[in-house]
Amino acid sequence: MNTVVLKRWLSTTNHKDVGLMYFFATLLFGFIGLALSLLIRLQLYQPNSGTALLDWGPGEPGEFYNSIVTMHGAVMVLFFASPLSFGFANYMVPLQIGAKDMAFPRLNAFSFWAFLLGGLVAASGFLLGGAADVGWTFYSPLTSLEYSPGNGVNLAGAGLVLLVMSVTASTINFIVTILNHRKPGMSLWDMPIFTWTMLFTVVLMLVIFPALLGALLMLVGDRIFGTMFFADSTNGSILWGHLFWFFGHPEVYVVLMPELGIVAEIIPVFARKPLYGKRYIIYSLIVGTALSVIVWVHHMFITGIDPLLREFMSVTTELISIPFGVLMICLIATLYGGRITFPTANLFALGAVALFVIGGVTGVFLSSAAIDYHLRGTYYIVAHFHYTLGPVVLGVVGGIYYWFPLMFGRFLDEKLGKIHFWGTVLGLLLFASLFVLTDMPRRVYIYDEVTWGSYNLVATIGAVIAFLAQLVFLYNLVRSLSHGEQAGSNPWGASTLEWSDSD
Amino acid sequence: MRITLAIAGALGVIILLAGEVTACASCVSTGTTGVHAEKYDRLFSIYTLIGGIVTLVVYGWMGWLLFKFRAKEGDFEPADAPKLGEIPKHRGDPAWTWAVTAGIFVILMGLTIGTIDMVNFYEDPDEGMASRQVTVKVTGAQYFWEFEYPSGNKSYDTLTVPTDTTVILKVTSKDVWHNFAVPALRLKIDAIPGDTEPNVIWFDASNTGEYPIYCMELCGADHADMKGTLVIVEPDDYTNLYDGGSA
Repeated sequence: MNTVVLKRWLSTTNHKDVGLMYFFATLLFGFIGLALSLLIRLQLYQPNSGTALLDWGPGEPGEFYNSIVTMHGAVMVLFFASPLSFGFANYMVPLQIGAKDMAFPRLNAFSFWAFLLGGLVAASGFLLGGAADVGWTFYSPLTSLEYSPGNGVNLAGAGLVLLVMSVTASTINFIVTILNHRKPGMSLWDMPIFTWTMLFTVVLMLVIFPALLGALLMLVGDRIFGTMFFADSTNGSILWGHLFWFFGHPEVYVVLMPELGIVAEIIPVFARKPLYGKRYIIYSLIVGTALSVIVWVHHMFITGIDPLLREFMSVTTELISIPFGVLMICLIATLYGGRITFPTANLFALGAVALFVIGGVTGVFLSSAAIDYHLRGTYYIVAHFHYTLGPVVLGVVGGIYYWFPLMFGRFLDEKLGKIHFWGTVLGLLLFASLFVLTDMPRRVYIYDEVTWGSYNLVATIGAVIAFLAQLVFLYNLVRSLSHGEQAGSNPWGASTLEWSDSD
Repeated sequence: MRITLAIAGALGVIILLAGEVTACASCVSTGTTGVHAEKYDRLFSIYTLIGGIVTLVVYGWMGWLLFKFRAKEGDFEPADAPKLGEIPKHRGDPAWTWAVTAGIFVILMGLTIGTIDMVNFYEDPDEGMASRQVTVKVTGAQYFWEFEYPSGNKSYDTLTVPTDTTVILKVTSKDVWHNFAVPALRLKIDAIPGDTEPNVIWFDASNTGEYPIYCMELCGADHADMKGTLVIVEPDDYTNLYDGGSA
């Protein structure tokens, strides 16, 4: 790459450039996370599988495995699924509302570079003596200097602080852009649904990320300056739990809502009908966003907290199924009276809706404090959140197929796209076997219960199939950038303004 | 093409439903014992049944829409199809939306009643059927479990309790966050260091047997090896082991 091109990309503040940089950086993180997931599944494919796969890593096999699990979770949620949507948002939101650029273009570029640096710092632990191995939940006091003396937790903490900086700048940028930079005559109600979901996403982020930042700074204080926030022998662990989950639970809605926006853009275009109940979807998002900050204790049902609080959060958790249930029903109802075609973009969007139903229904089980007594910490949970985040990724990838012609002027290959879709879905379906393992603990690198073996084997086969499908996707992506079929303007027949963009 | 699509879709639905149905409580391969497991399995089946019906209805409806409104040769574009630069007309029926909302609400609140009833049961050891109670202190540590019996005797990794007894466990931790889990009882509780009060769970030990104990919160490098055994024995055997003089 010559220096002119390099300088252009390093110094750009154009929202489309920043969007594209997010796009490629998050795909890089996504493939890192994917490779880690394959390691996990290969390690667990049978009982007593030994440590051959783990021996080459830094530290003991258990430590290396824990760092793989930790980084898989952190990378996939914080550095892949969520920022990939932000890549689209950077590109599409200003176009959808007829703004020239983001309100603060330089701040926008800063957000991207802080995000990239954050991800690299967090992952660099693998090369610097061991990445964080305490789970993406970072439960205290396992994170204290006493129990985790290595650099991994410091590096992950520093990476996450950079991420919070990036996110905070981004949220302000999006709120100002959406509220103040719409083209004349466009009311809030006129905004496309993806811009709407981004608005709720950034508002929610602005509420929850300070809790994460506070918790991280306290943790860093404990580890580096000898403060006693979590190292305190009385209830330090519970304090961490509340701070983390106040951020951690709404974070899943932060990941979910942009994806719902993308799916809600795609389905009407390929059903050739307007989105059903756009207003009800927006009301649902308001209710869902509000409820999402008062459900976090469902992650702490068995910490011995006040039973009244537990029942309250049990009810709020069940209530939050209502707005998102209504939203899913509206997405499906959009199909009514349509003339539906099934290019890959629409397959991914419909697949996301269909599989998310499973994630939602299995989540209702977990909202029950009584059922949580048995399911918490087991592979049922693992299966459940892969059936929520998996469909989220399906939806966002649908966005790649949908907006690729706009971003690069060419189509992704449809035949390869369908292989990618069906491979990914088949992989996810096989992963459902883990719902059965309600007695297998999460985050163990080895187990000797023979009866768990076959279910793990099926899930591993699923993971391998899904992995191969992503390789097909990678090939498709690289090939289509230069050899894809040329796309004219507005090739899908959409209504939103990003498609009228001429350059 | 469309036929393969339909077949693939149908297959997917079948695999999913099979997965959900097999995720039944009776599949807990590490055993089943006690009154909690009985109550839990019943509640879980209710959730599974209702969840299964909801999934089936949604999938049936979605599949029907996809089939009925698939693009066919000679179809016209719907009159309100998206057009570039035009804001789509509002579409939707408030009555219908309220009906869906109310439907989901009723289902969820019905389930909640079952849940709250059961949480209250979990809270109160006096709900136990047994004639006597034994309290054991459980302490998690990297990477073993310590059990201290009323007599002051201790055991490690093996919790031995007598039948016909309500066993009350007071669970805490010496170092990091652990989780004391016995899947056969459908019970677990966090073992949290520095808690001012230990966390309490109880269960009825009804029949003799051995059941695995796991740590279900990531607690360090050897988390996978932090396992134990719950042994339920005849009262006489228990007395000889832990109730009398030396262990």
